[in-house]
Amino acid sequence: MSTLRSAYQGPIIDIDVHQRWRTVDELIDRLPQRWRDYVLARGGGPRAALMPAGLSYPFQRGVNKRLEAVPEDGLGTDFELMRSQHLDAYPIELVNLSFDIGHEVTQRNPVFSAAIARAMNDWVIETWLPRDTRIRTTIVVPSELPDEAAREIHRVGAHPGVTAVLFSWNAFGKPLGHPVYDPIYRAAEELALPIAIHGAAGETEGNMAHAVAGGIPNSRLEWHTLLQQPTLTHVASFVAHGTFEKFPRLKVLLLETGLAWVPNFLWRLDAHYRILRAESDWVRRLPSEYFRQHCKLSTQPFELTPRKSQLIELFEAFGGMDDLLCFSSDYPHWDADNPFFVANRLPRDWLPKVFRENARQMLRLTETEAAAV
Amino acid sequence: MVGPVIDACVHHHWNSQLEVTDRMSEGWREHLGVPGSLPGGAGAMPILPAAPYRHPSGDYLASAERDDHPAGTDPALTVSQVFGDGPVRRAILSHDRGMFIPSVPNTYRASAVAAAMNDWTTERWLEADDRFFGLVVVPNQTSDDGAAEIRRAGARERMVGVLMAANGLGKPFGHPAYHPIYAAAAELDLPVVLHAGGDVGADTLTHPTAGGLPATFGEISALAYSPMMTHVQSLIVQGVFEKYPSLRVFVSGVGAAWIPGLFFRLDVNWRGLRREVPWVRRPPSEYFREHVRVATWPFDRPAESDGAERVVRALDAFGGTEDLLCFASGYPHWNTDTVADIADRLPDSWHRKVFHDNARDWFRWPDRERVRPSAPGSEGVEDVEAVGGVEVGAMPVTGERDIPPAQRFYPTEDGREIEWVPAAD
Amino acid sequence: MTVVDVGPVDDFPDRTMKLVEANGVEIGVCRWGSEIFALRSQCPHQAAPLCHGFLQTALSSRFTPDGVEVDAHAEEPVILCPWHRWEFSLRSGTSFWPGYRARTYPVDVAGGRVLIQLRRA
Ligand code: FES
Repeated sequence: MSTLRSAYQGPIIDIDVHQRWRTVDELIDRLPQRWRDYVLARGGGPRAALMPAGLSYPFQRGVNKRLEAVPEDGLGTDFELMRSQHLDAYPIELVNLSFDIGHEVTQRNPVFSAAIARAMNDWVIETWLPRDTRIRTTIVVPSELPDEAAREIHRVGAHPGVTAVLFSWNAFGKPLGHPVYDPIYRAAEELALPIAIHGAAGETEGNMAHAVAGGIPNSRLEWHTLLQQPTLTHVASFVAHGTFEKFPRLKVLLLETGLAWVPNFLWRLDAHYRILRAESDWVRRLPSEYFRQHCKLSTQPFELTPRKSQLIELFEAFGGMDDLLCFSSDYPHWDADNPFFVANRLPRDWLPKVFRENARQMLRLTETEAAAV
Repeated sequence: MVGPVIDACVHHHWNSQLEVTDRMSEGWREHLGVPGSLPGGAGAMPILPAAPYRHPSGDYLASAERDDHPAGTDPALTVSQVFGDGPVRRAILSHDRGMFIPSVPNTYRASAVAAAMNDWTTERWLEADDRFFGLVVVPNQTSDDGAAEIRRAGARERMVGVLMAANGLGKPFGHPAYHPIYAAAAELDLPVVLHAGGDVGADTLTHPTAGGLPATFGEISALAYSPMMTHVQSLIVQGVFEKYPSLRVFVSGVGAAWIPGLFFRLDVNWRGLRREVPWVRRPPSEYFREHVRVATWPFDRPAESDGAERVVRALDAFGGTEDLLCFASGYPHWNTDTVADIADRLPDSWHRKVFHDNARDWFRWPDRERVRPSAPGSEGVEDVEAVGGVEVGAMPVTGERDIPPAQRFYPTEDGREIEWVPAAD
Repeated sequence: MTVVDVGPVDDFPDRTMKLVEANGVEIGVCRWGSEIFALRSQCPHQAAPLCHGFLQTALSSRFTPDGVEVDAHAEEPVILCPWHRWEFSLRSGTSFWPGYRARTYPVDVAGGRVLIQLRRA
């Protein structure tokens, strides 16, 4: 149990928790024969680990996790650790898994990406969902083949443990409102699954689009601080391309992008309303109205101000933030937040919404769950 | 009523590029040619890079155009519209699309045109009115040339800063390749002005947005602060203010409401990641408060009727912002701000600082006492190069490898043994 | 004042963080040459198990006429939190940049035993 006292004692829905296979064999075993052969048929050199080649911002000593969350043998993530360090340490009602970024679908060969996506989805459904009734999961899709991605959503998206579609790979390097991705949104809307964007949508892995505007920063400190930048572009793009007009029931969940950027971003978009409208047939309402109706944000990484009140004052200048935030820990990553810490930094009357109600409106839960009070 | 006002960003441009190219050498003039010497106005290489995104109803105020003069090209009209009988006493001319010339692919042409632009500003504009002041356009693909141009044109009294907009090398501005420019700016006591838009053009390998190129002007304009956050953060984290402790920076064209969001996050990340950049001795926001001032233009305008109060509340959440902002109109851009409107939007108690004092303290006015470049503890260091020998970029030995266990081996997913777990976020 | 005996000095190898439990509180005990430090294994930021982090030496930087100089202090151990990697001095509990402080405990060695004073830091 955490040693912190918490201002919030109710049940917690944690919308961003990461899981990884202990060894990549768990994934390889679920690939079709053709791709298993491909991965295993190596002469010299290491076997393909399926890790995409991303920007080089290695973490100190190469560990991106909470140190005590690294299993003894250093392999992947361990459910027992997750249970004792997180699920049982707080009053957790549900956790929403989002892979270890889920970027294994970020392969240059889109057909291979599609096979990996299927294997990853089968793996999480077969191995993680049965482990604990509190576990729910996102699914990954091969975005470079949008119709195939839609088929994958239909194939596994109806499973009651699936809550959202993780858009983890911006395969065309286009802001995500681009109509090439519409089949994915159509399928997600049909199954009432929100689209989840985790930090950058694979911009860090792909070099299809830039992870940061204005040039690649020299340090991890800078890159990590600007992790929200692709998300800004994607949300503006959803507005400009009328994604929410075309798919009026589509929801978008922004994970691990922090919060303090929200007021300025939406003020600026709103200030361009008439211009956006002149350029696009689709912009019929203020961008912030679309945002408030269709999007929510995970709380992590929760910005820390010298005085607690500074961050809240910024939120209140914008207004209505209590309806936009869904608690997320990001366990077991190094920058994960303690739910009790977050509870203690927010106004008390926000807590039931932030820790539970907003997530229940966002994630696709089963009817019984949705009915539960 | 507002007292005397300094307008920290007015855009000036040429009517014909001959105004600039006529100030170049014979060889360059011949090479570039004469517009209109061929049918349809052709006959010259255009010196301006193209603009990939255009405002759907025009990039400039219609009222700033005259039949024979596009907006911002006529000194007399600019004088009457910027000063008129209003409170503006000084205006800083900041160029218009010309500011993107330094990133054109031909770096020699970029340098030659930049020098001609600086002469053109001095001769055509600064001579037209005493209240105009200039910025030295710096060719920044070869930063030694840039530094030389700062030393040449920046020696002129009425040049009050250095203009960096175009991202000539495609790197965030704190990259060491740009440092000779900062050394020269610090040496001449000229603040470096970063102006929005330098990552938009096709000439730079950087993108103006992360996550792909937007479809519309509305998106690109709303997101204009994205690359500016990258550049400001880069200057701080890459130790530019440690290397050049007297250097001042001015940020123009992106409003101000981005400030709290960036530093609420950067300061806390720095606590955990400082060993990657050990020369950053203090929280990044402290460098920002000491070394950076920000133009009010284009002032942030939430759609709500109490939008002005919301912005001030957001800025107050960061605190001390009244010491950081300088009024700028952005004339004659489509989103030009007026003194009266900004005065309405800001608390009265901020007016003196924002409309006048902050800019008065920041730019190198002829009547401002010169600040010598120095490191604290060393009064009046004569030669900036002597302030070299800095540890920015060096990685110190901390002795931690002697602390057991210094090394551990983990199996990887594919069974190999490696020293670290593959990192991702 | 509660004094807790956490074992013989020989049980504490040089420059190694050892976790002990005293009165239900997890405490990290670390011998650094001739000195022994003890601090509560709870991070003042978000309550992480602090002493599970990286043991390192302090790194500071200062202005000199020649620019910034970065200094490593072999006699000043710090613990980097296992979560967000903030740094806390074993000697004083202070974080690298002021604002946070981890709980430290005075340590005595008597009769070859390590004794921690739990009451005050
Ligand atoms: S909990 Fe220790 S640094 Fe955050």
